[in-house]
Amino acid sequence: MKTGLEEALAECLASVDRGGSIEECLVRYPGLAQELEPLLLTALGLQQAYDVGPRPSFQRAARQRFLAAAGRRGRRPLAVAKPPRRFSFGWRWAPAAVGTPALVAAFALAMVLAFTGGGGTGIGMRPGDVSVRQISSAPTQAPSEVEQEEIPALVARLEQRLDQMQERVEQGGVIPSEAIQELKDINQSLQESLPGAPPEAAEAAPQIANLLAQQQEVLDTAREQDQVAPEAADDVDDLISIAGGLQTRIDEMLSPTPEPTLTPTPTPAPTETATPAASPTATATPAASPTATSTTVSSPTPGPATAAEATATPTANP
Amino acid sequence: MVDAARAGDETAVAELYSAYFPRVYRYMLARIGNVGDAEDLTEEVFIRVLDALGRFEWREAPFSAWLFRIAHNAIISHQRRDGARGRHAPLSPTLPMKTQGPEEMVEARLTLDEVMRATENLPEAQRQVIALRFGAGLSVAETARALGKGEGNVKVIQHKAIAKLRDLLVDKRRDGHENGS
Repeated sequence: MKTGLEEALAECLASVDRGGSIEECLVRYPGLAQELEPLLLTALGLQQAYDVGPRPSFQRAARQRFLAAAGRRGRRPLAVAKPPRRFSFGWRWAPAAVGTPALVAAFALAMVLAFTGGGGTGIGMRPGDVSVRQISSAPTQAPSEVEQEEIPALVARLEQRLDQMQERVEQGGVIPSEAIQELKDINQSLQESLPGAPPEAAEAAPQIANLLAQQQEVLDTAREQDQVAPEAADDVDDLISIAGGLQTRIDEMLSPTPEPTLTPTPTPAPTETATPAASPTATATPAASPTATSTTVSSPTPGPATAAEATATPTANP
Repeated sequence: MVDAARAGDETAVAELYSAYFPRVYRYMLARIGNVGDAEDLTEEVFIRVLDALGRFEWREAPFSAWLFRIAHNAIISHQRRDGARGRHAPLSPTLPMKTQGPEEMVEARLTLDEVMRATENLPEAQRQVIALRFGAGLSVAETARALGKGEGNVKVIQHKAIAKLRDLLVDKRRDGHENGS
C-alpha cells in the first residue's frame, strides 16, 4: 500500500460529499490519480447502491410505534434517567410502574428479612417460593470492597490489552495464547465484580459494553484471518462465552427492568437493607428493556408488560 | 435538538428520529443484508436510544457516533442471539430505490445485492467501516468515534475495503459477462 493513498482517498471522498467532482480531486493528486480514480468510482458506486429507503408502510408503522413509546417515556423526564441502581443486596429494582405503595412494601420486606436473619423464606412463604423478581445472575454475596475498587483498573487494563491486540492483528501478527488467557481473566473478574458495585462503578458499564464490542471485533477478525495461535482456539471459545455472560450483566445494568428470570430467593446478608434514598432514582429508569424490545419490536407495548411485572413485587409484602 | 430531546421534549425526540431513521436503516441493511432483520433492528435501536438518551453526554462523543455505537452493539447482540452473522437474503422487490424508472430500479437493486454479497467477503472491521461510511453516511471522524478507532486507522481500513470490493465486484462482473457471452 502506498503511503498517502488512503489519505488522498479519504480527502477526495470528503470533497465529493461536499459537491466536488472526481476530476477536480484527481487533479490535486496527479501522482496517485491512476490508482485513485477506480477507488473513487467504486466508492461512489457503493454510495449509490446503499441509497435505499425503508418500505413506506414499515416506516409509517415504525414511526407510530416509536412515538407511542416516546410518549410513554415522556411522562418520565428522559433527562433524569440514570443507569439502573442496584440495592446492595443484589436485587434489581423494577421501578417503571411500581409506585410508592410498592416501594413501601419492598422496604418493609427488606426490614423483615433483616430482622429475621435474612433467611430464604419470608412470612407465609415456603422454602423455594419466589418472593420477588430477581436476576438469575445476581450473586449470593456482594463483592468485596477490594473487588469493587478494581473495576476502573480492570477496565483500563482491558482497554489497553485490546488496543495492543487490535494493533497486532492489523499488522498481521498472531495472538498468543497468553493474551487470550489474560483477557479471559479480566472478563471473568469484571463479571464477578460488577454485581452490587457502587453507582460510580456502574457508570463504567457503557464503556465496558464498547470494549466488549471491540473485543468481539478483534477476535472475529483474528479468527477469520487465522491470526489466533492454534493452541488458543479453545480459550477463545471460553473467552467468548465469558464475554457473553459479562455482556448480559452489562445489558442488565443498562436496561431498566430485570430479565424475566425467576430464581429461588437467595440469602441476603442481614445488614444489607434497602435505604429510602435509593427509591427516587429508581423511578427514573425507562420502562422497556432493550433486550425485551428486540423480540417484540413489531408491536412494542412495554407499558402493560412492565406494570404486570411490577405488580408481582408487592405480593411479597409481609 | 439533542439537548431538548434529552430533556424530554417529545417534538425534539421525533425530529431526532426522523433525522436518523433512514441512516440507521441503511446501516442495518448494509450490515445485516436482510430487509426483515434490518427493519427489526432499526426499531430496536431507537427504543434503545430512547432508554439511553438521558445518559448521553456530549463530551464522550458526537451524537451520531453515540447513536451508531448503539446500533453497532445491537448488531452484535443480534448476531450473538441468532448466529446470523453474514446471513443474506435477496432484497425485497418492494424495497424502494431512490432512482428514476423501472429499469434503473432493477439495475440499482442488482447492484445493491452484488455489493452486499461482496461485503460478506470482507473482514469484520472493513464491513463495519463500509456500512458506517457508505450506509449510514458518517464522516471518517464520526466513523472513528463510533468504532472507537483512530481516524488514520479508519482511513486505512476504508482504503483496503474499497480496494477489495472493487476487485470482488469487477471479478464478478467479468465472470458474469464471460458466462453471458
